[in-house]
Amino acid sequence: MPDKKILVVEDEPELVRALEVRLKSQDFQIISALDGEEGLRKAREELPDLVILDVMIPKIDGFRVARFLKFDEKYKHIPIIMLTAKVEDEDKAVGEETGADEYITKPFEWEYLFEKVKEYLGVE
Amino acid sequence: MAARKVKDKTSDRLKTALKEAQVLASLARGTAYVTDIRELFRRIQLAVREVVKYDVYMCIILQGEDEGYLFTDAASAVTRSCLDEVRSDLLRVTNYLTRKKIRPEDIREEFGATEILSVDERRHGIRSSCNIPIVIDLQPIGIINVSSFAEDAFSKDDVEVLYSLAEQTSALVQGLRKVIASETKDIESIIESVWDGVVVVEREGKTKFLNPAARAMLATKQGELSALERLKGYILKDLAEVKKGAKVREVKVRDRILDVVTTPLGFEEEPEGAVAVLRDVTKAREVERMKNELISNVSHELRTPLTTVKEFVAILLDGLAGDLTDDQKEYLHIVRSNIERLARIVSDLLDISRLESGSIQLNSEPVSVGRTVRQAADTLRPSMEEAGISFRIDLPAGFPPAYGDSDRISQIFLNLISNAIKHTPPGGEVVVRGRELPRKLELSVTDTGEGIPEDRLKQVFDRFLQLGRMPGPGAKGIGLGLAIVKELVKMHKCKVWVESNLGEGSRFCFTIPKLKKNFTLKDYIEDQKKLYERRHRGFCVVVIDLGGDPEGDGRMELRRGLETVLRSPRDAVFRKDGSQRTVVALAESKKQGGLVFVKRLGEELSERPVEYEADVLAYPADREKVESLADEWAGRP
Repeated sequence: MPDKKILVVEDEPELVRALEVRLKSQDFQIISALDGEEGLRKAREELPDLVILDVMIPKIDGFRVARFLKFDEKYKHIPIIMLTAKVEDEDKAVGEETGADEYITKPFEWEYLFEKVKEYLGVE
Repeated sequence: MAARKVKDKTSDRLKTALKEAQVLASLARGTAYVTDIRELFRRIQLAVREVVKYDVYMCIILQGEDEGYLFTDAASAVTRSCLDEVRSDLLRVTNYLTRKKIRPEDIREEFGATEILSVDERRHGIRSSCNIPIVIDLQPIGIINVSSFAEDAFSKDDVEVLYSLAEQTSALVQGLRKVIASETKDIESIIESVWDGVVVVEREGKTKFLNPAARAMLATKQGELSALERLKGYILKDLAEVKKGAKVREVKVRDRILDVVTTPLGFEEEPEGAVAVLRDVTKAREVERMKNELISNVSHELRTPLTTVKEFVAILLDGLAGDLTDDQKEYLHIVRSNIERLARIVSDLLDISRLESGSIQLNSEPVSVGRTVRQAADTLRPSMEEAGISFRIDLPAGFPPAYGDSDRISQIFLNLISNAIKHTPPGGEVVVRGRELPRKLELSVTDTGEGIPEDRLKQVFDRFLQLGRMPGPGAKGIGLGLAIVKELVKMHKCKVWVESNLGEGSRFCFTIPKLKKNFTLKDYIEDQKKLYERRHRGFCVVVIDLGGDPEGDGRMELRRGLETVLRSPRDAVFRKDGSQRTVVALAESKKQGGLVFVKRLGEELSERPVEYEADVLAYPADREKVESLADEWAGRP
């Protein structure tokens, strides 16, 4: 698989680890961040091909990180998949307003997430 | 009492005296405990009628400072003008005696006989009349009047009898007043001490009564009843709207939340005012809110660790951490299914909590029943196979679409089918059937399980109740599945019920609204508009309608697909092509998601089996083109 870089922004290190195990097995390159501030910074520095972004993260929450990236000419092209434990209509709405490309609730099926990852990376 | 026959005038007088005694006695007996003033009036009038021959009878009894009751009777039909004459005379005399200024409109009039008005305008002149005061403690409180068209109609004996009756009346009215006073006092004490507030408002807005509890609820620290005016406004508004029973509303008064129950006071057609009962529900609401928040938070908190555990188990099972022995695989499967069970319980808890707090709204749209059931069956196929149960869908051809929340309807089927699986032994069968009704669709999920005893049929939908499930595989839950189904069906304003035969199986039935026959694109637009406005707080519409089979699954599927694609539109632009059937919506999004969306729309459309014609315009490059098309469609020059 071509060298695709994925940024995972998630404050549960174990979940990051789980995602890493999965994604690395598919030969993706993984960078991670444990809070919104670090996530934003790494996104800007590393220009990943995809961001998997949790909603509930410290410092800057997931929605705002998504907004910052999407409103910025330089980064708006980066697809964002948001993960959340919430399913309220309003949260979906906010999620959509931020311009995130996908919205997945926890607990998720790995297959489903994987398909979305492949979709947004444009790989098979 | 036998009367001796005496052939002279005295016998007549005796007869009269006897009559009088009898009447008085019966009056005393009959009215000893009359609590209804109308009834009192009637008995008096009947008594008078027994002893005195009159053409018109009127009795007035005063109430309070400037109100009174008038009781009228006539021996035969009389004209309105005649009654008016008697009435005004009577009032004049009453005012004179009592030194009051009672006007006709202050009197509530009752008619003894129902048909005493005639339209014959021949002058029925009153030639003689008699006014006997009714006195309590030397104060006149009313008058008995008898009138006649004949002159000198009333003899001295008549007058004496009338005086006796008037005295009797006075005694009765006093008795009545005492009873009312004492009962009123009792009621007042009760109302004073009750914790709920009681407010009585007259129709014109005057506060008739306010108990201490109400005062406490409405007063500021300084003791001002600033909230009272606003509350009265609500009460009177509710009074105008309530026809029968009561109207309930919630009112915020400073930091309190009050439940206000308003009922009309007085006669149904013309209520004199309203009684409102106020209850302070602030604490109750707070507790409710906290409970929901608790359930919500806990459930959310549980989801993340669940996710982590689930992920690692899946990673292990997929061999990413090395090969597994058979035992290890088996144990991990057990772990996984329990995780799934936990996840389901959390989900159910969240659902039931949100359903009860009313925070779930329906997003209604056309729904293909067949497709929904098939999807649910696909999800549950593994458990069906594991349980050795076969499944069948039996819907008539051309089964119409339903109209409801597709996710929720899906959930209803999932819960019912999985419930059926749980209760059916291996080799059994679960069947989903559908039937069209005039305005609804009736669906049923049948199993070949052991059935439900009759006395439990109603209870099945209770929370946390789990009756005799099959041992072995199958999703174990927390017993909320059917309770959730019940709430979801209720939300669609429909019914769910179960029929069962012990030893044969059960049939769970529910109705859902049917898509109305003339459901047009316009209706669909309106729905989607509401949906999006609700979600996006002011977004505009997304419209999709593509040609092809108007009722078939293909169209429905396309709608759904496009909706997924068109999730973040800001403004909608409509474009119509020549053939009226085809409309494609484009979303011009100011957020950058728009570009991705447009690209995906194109991809979606190119994959669909349904015929369509459309253009996909990229933003922002084709902005002008988009705008001119919008103008064209909107008919602007």
